[in-house]
Amino acid sequence: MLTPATTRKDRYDRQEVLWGYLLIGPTLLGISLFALWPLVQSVYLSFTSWGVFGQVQWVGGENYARLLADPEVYATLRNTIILAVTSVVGSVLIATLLAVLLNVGVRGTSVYRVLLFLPVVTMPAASAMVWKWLYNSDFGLLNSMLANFGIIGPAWITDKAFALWSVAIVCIWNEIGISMIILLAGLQGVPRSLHEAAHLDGAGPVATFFYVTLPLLTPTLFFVTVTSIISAFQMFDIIYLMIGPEGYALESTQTLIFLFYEQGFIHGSKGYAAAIVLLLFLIIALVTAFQFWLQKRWVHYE
Amino acid sequence: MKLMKRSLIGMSSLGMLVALAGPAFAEVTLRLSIWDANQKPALDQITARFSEENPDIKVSIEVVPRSDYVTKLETSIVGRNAPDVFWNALPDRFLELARSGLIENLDERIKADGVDLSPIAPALLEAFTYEGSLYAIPKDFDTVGLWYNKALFDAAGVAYPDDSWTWETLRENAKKLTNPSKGVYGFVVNAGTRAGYYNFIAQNAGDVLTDDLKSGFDQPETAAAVQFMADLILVDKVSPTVQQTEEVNAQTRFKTGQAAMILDGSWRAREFADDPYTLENANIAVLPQGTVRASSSGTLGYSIYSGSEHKEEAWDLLKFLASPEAAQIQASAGAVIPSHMDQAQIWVDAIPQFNLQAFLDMVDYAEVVAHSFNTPGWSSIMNQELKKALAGDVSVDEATSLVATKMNEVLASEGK
Amino acid sequence: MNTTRFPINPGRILVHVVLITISAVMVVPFVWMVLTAFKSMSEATAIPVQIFPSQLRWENFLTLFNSFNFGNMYLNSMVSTLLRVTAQVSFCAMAGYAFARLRFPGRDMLFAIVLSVMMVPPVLYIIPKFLLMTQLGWVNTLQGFVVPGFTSAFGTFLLRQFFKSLPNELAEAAKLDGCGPFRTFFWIMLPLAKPGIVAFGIFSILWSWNELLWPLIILNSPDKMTLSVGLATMEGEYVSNYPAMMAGAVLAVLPMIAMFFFFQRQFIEGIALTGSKG
Repeated sequence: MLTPATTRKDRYDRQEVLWGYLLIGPTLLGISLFALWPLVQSVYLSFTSWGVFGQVQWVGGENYARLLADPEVYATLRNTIILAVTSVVGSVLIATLLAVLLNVGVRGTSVYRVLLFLPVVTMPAASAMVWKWLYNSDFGLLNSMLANFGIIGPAWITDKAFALWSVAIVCIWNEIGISMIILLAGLQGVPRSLHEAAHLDGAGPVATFFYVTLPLLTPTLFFVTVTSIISAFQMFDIIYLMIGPEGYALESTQTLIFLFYEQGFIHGSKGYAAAIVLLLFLIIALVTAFQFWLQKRWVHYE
Repeated sequence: MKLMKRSLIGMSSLGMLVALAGPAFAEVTLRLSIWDANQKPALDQITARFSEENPDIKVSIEVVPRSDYVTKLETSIVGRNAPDVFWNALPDRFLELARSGLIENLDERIKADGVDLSPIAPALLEAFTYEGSLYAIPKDFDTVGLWYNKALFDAAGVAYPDDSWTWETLRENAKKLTNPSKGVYGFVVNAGTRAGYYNFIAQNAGDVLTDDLKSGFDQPETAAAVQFMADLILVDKVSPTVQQTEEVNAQTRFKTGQAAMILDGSWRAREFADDPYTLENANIAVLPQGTVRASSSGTLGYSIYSGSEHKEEAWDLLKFLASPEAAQIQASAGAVIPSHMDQAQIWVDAIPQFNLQAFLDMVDYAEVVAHSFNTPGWSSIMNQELKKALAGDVSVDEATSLVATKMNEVLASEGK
Repeated sequence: MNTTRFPINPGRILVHVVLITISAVMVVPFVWMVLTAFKSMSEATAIPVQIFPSQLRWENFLTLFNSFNFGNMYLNSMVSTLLRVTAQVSFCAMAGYAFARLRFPGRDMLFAIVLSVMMVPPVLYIIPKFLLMTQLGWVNTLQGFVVPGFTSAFGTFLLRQFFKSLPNELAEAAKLDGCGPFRTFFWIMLPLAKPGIVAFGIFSILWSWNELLWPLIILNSPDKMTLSVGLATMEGEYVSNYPAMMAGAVLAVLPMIAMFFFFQRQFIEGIALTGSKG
């Protein structure tokens, strides 16, 4: 619909311009101060070295040279990728299953939905505390239940062989709810008529799912995967709280963002920490770009 | 629109709250940062007395958990927002703080006000001296003793520990006291410095740090001490593993009656006295001896942050904290052994159920905690690598030689 | 013939079985948290595990307020969440509206900047943000904690999309009646955008309440700490009081769970909104 305001494309309404700037003012100021300027400064900082008590020195590319030579960075990168892949694959698979089941519309769907969603609204500090307690090798519920079957459970979060997987389970538990709700919304967008048509063609529920539902769900699945991976790369709270900066299993669970915190705020090496976080940014950007490339190959948009 | 209105009301009422809570102009509130919640009640009393005498100065005590204390303090110094007065321990970069001028040199003020520091043990004053000047006023000192659970000893028919005990007695009796079916361990090896390595290393006549500031971890005596600790866990199995201890610490196991003996400092007395179970069942003996007698010892002092806006008031507080009156309140609370040597007996008498005298008996052979300019720089490496040896991931020799190398690198770079 | 009214469908039973199993596993941590919160220390550390407390020990909750300064942390969490969410929702609504509905030079370029900020992981900003707070003298202050969260690129984007989806007629009518841009925004469009604003507000509250990393860095002294940071530091070098820790966890999660129960629909819609349009 054409209105007088939009037909005069070449001229702005003075009042509207004024209010436009006024309304975006706070946001623009906030974003400049707390996002744009920090972005520029991060790059600068990554070329400096910091004393414990804040003495700054320009060191050129030293931090990047250290980054490339640091075996800890590679181990950390490996952990980060394992954790992200495991938790995303695990949570998306389970969430898809749950979304499909909830979409059947059985009785009590809303109760199930509430229960499955609870972890999402739970404070990560509290989740980590409870899981740590469940995993406790002396007094934990998990090992006590295993003992009933004659199994001596491991030290879930302090044994180097298990810690990363134990953390991954908590991440999956934490992520399922949100992915499930998004996928459910996606499923509800799949027209019933298509299901009925498939049914008339003699397709069973499993075949219908794979040949009708799944292809139509791919845009949502894609979205969920991308956002989950991005957030998995930035997951800090649970590792910090479950393993801790002095944890015995830290070496086998430490992720890039944890290394960033450790270097920047425990060892006070803010320059090196800035280089680490820029590496993380680069990785996230690459993963996102790769996913968008991949998207062209497997996502169906109507 | 409702939203906006509500937010405006919210903001203005908050503003009023801030205005009401804000101090009057003449009044100064000093921030005093400590880490031990067990000592807060005594310190509350001390600062209340101080504010009675100095009505214009209020003191707000901030208890930061020990594990975060150094990080938070350093972050707040970078943020130029450090507390006016804070606890300083020798291994917490005390020397570096003094060298960088981040804490006040107290000499001139002490001279100008004629403060009498003579009741304070000279060794403690010396510990807080950097290049001939005092940078902190010692408030207390501590030693580490052998805490034992009388009920578990009685049940196993083992005689209570005394000064005749050696490493071998410790090992043998720990075996008798261990009862896996009940989850009871005879001893808990602490994979930490003060209540762990430093005692055993000193008892074996080894060094953590040599006098000429080199790592002591290439000495066979030092390695053998770590080996003894590792054997208690891995060979004799009288102690939970380091992984288990990380999940449930030694103090918690001791308090729940699942550890017969632990090493812990004199600073723990108040906490164990406040708990009915440990008050009834716990007691203390001097540490078993190795080739020599030794106990790890440390001291805490009060320092003034150089960036403080209220240095004069902070100095007034420090003077009071250094007074016999303050020392006496601290001692009678049973919190810590006061730096005023003439008041040590008050502390011993504060908790008659415990044999606190044992901690004083060890003063003669107390070994002051190892420290250099950048102690956290090497102690974090040391803790991390030694833990691997105690867990059995690497041999003790591998771990100690790696610690020696890495530690010497850090030590070599800290002079600059 | 009952089958038409009560279809006992093996498929549906299977669906229930799977859903019940997964839901049960998902809920175990909550049940265990509540059970432990009421136990005594010796019940909590019994070997083998004792499932139920012998009596409800409310004193564990009292311990929190007496020894862990929980009341103060609660207040800090509430004040900071209130301030931050009010400002964030207001500013995002204002900017979102301007970007969606007002014409001014440079609008599209500025919006592109907002969008690009959304692509950057927020951890990247932390160190420079901390240094900025240092220069402002805002380390360890309430404003240092909340002010950086007053604006949100994501929220601006979300609400812009929402304002764009609203019908145009009312705004046009108001304009013809001589309403200025602000009055149109405030009195006409804002009420229409309420569902979007509520959905965003709920998530804003959730993020603010649960946040750990930024308050952990910017707040040093215990009297300033929020619940999240407080819980993180509860297991220190002292004897770990597990029942009190779990009681703390219960109290910390309760407000958000209550909010979720009351605003379930908005939660779900909020996610669907961000999900379908992000």
